[in-house]
Amino acid sequence: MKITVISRQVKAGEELRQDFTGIEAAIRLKEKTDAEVWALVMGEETEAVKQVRDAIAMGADGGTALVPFFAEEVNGGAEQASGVADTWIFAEAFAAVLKERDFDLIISGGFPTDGDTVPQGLLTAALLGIPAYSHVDKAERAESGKALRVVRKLEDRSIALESELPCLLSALPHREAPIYKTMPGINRAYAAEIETLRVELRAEAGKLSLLGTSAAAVRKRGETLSAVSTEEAVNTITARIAARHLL
Amino acid sequence: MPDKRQGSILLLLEEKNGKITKLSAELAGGAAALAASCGRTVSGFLPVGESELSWRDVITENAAYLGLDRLYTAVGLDGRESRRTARAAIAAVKREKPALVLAGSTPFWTAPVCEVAREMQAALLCDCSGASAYGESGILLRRPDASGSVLCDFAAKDDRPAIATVRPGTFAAAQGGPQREKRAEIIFLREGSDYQTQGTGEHFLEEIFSRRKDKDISRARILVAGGRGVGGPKGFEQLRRLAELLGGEVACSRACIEAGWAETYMQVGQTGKTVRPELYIACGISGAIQHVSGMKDSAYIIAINKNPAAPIFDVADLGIVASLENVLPPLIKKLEEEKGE
Repeated sequence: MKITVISRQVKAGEELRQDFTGIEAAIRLKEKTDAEVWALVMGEETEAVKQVRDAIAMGADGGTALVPFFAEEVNGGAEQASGVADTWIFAEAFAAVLKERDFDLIISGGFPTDGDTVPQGLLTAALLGIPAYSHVDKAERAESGKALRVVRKLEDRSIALESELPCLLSALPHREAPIYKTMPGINRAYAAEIETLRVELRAEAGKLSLLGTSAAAVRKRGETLSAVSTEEAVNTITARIAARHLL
Repeated sequence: MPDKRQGSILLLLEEKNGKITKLSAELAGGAAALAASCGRTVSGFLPVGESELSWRDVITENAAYLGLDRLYTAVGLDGRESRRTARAAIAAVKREKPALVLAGSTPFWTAPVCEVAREMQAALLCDCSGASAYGESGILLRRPDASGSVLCDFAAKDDRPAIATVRPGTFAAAQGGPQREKRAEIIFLREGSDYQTQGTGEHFLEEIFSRRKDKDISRARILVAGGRGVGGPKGFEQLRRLAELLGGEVACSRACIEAGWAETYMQVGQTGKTVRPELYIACGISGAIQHVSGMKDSAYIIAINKNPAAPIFDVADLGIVASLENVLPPLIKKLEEEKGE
């Protein structure tokens, strides 16, 4: 089974948010079935190449760094500048890359990055015309062979389903059982030549216009007690809770 | 004036055991305010499961409660097969031709909204923090950027429809009640004639119920939240005891999920839940913007942190600079004494 994992790095202010949810899900599936895992990481070149190497160190067979660029400015560059973009633009860019690839399964993640990266994977599948499932907790090859057994985690229960292939799974993180890099993996990762692909983002694929931005309202700082006795701290806390009729 | 029918707001709703979910009531509350300010009507689509209940009564009651003009419904869609749900939702959207589709950011709707967006060629904006009227008849959608410190206002390009998802706690729930006299038009969508379910590629196998019940922290009046400063799973035992004494629930920051100290459903913040309880007690939480964006609308915030420079103090109504070990045990003891335990 050929598995392609898609992820996009997101900048939140100075912080770079990377998403290993998809790659971890792919490695877990690879441990149970014969599979080849390829990581497609979209982001700034140096960081994207680094994440592809991390994916290989964790067990991926290889990967490609996708370096996005806008052929033209969107909203005078405002959208790029604010780090905000349109799910459609990225989904279309991923779909264009995937159309050129051979895959049985696509896995996306996105929960550790931002609200856009989950729908971005699902919309990519919709553009490719393949089934897509969100909140996927587990996947394994179905007994029938050609299909996949998928377990989705809903709020009050889990649902097991069988999906035809190819399809896309939007995976949930398994924080209790992370996939670690291995020594042979790290050696392979640094010996590997990582391919970089420049991917054009089409502004006209976007369906939102940015009207403006403003600073988020800042909550006013209240009273801060430092160097108070434990007794005073406890009494102040209970008094404040009681004053709000919550005791 | 926009054509009322063409430009309605369509809500993608959810029910559980015949009762509309709290998040669905919140969507209706937000949509009612928006509709009033831009002269539009509100419709809904409520897929329902198979059950002994008389769905027509339940649906009629819910539609009136939520103040809807029209309610589309389809039977036999209880979230087991999300692609069938998507097909039915697309049928509702094609009939209604709304200007805005609003859905909750839930496992039920996350995948279907993307199929709806693809079908409608609609703008898609997830985890919005607000929606308001804009210009003559436009709808403005607001969402913080990834850092949470900048609010971005969007509108759908070229008068195309928009789909927005919102997390729990974004809007105040619709009040409903007997003052609602409007009777909604109920439209049953039938599998086969209104929407097709062949060729989805998805086959339901089984439902799995876990013994552990995830709590909905967005419903809690009081939250006791832990961060990295809690130190480990043992520290959470203390928070649980405090929450129990206060009649609240335990929440946490992302760091605790990554450390494996807490369950995913407990996470507050940008990648977790948005909460607005009456009291939020932040224990050992530094107050990174991603966390604060999910709790800053709490009515009252108490922060306990040993680092006097922790940004959590900037949003707290009461800040205590102290280590948790010094404050929590005596606080728990005092509350136990007051309760006579």
